Amino acid sequence: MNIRSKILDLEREIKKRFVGNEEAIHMIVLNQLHPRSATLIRAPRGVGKSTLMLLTLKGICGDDLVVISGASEVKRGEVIGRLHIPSLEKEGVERVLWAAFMKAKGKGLDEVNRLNPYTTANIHHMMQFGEAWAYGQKTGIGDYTLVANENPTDATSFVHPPPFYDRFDICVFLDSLTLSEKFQLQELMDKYENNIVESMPQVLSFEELEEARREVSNVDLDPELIGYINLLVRDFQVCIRDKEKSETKPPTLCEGCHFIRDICSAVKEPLSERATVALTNLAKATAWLYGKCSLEDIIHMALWVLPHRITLVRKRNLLADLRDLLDREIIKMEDRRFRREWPLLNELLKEFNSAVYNLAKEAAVEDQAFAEELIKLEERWVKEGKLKKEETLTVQMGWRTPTRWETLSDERSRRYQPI
Amino acid sequence: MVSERFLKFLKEQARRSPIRVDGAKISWEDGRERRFSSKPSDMLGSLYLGEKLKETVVMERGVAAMLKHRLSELEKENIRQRGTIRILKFIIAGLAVIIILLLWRLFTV
Repeated sequence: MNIRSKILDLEREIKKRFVGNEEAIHMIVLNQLHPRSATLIRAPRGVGKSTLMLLTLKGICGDDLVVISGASEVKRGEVIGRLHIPSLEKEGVERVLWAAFMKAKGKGLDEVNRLNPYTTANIHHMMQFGEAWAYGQKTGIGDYTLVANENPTDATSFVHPPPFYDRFDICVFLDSLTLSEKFQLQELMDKYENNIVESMPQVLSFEELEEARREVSNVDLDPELIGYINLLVRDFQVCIRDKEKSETKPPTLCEGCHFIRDICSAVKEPLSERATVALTNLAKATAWLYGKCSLEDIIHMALWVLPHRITLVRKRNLLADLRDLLDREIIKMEDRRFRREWPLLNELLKEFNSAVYNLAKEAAVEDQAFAEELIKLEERWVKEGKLKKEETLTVQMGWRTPTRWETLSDERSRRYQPI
Repeated sequence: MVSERFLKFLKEQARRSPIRVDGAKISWEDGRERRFSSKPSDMLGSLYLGEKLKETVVMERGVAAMLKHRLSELEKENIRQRGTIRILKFIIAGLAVIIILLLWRLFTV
């Protein structure tokens, strides 16, 4: 059996034991196909977060898994490492015994929202740098797979910093079971004698998973697909009023803005660049596993890459609101195609043509991501004397863009030439 | 400096949706396939219950006829109100003249 079949088999085995939530299972399996993968499962209590986490880890790592539970008292020695007392007493040497959690290939975090901030900080460091520190000593962690779960609406939650959550590649939400699914679960419980997790076989070895991860990382994505990923993330970041650096945030910041009806006005805290990395990894995994990946797949996957990384202006139902925004994103991409924005930019990159430029300017008034690229070109043309400053989009629309600062720094670098 | 991948993306887009540039003339064929749903949007829910509308609105014939009727009724109401306002304006002007005359008489006599 080749590795691809084993990955598909892993999904099948989990689905055999977990009722409903098929899309979530599919995404979790897909997210395993890159090094140091981290998955977050969010759901209310009793929906099966821990079961799904254990099924995934068991299917990949067998018994080589350690679960840290936020619901119990977690000590530093259990997560990172502890001192080897005999070495210290007899030889006066500080030797660290690294915790099983650090050594295990399968790492589980149960109820992350209840983990204390110190443990969270240590895990954050491990996810960030792939290493752990204790008593002045460092150990490399190597490749692993991490699956965590939480119910952030629990009353006993710690509020973890957004950068910690940003390190999870995806965040899947589980739904409670429908009537017929409840019957299905009861049948499953009877079939596996209430030991669903125990019945889960190890479908592939971790070495096989590492091999799959290597193959996936070597997949060459279509430039068009990479373009769509970058564009999607940029549309959820861009702000003509620079909300990232502004003290005032939307919706107040958006008052009177030309782009008030755009996606940007619905986003309070924009996405980080990790969203691009996560989406690219998932797109590569899809292309490797199924031989193709389309724009629809990207939009579909974005729903699980965005929720833990973004803050929306209106908070009603996060997933429903994100679905709405992604629908708008599809229309926006269609509009771009209709306006021929990228072919126009392609022409303008070759040479300045006032007719093409005027058309591009019309399109840029409705599209910030496109406007940013056009403004960069305008700056070049102004320097080259092909365009007057008064004719540029920035001046005509009265937009202040961060690129202005680049111009200033250019002037400064000219003024302060090394002797 | 422009990234190679970005250039590739632009070229690919230009290949898929070609434009013809001939000096000051630019042209292309519009092969746009709109993916908007033909399912009617809940226009009435949006009007009366304040529900959020999607980017594109598709309306049932009945809803459109109802809106048209409502608009024409509002127009008629508008014309009626404008007539009333005009009459009220005359009355106000008349009353103002009477007040001025009365004040003038009060202070002069």
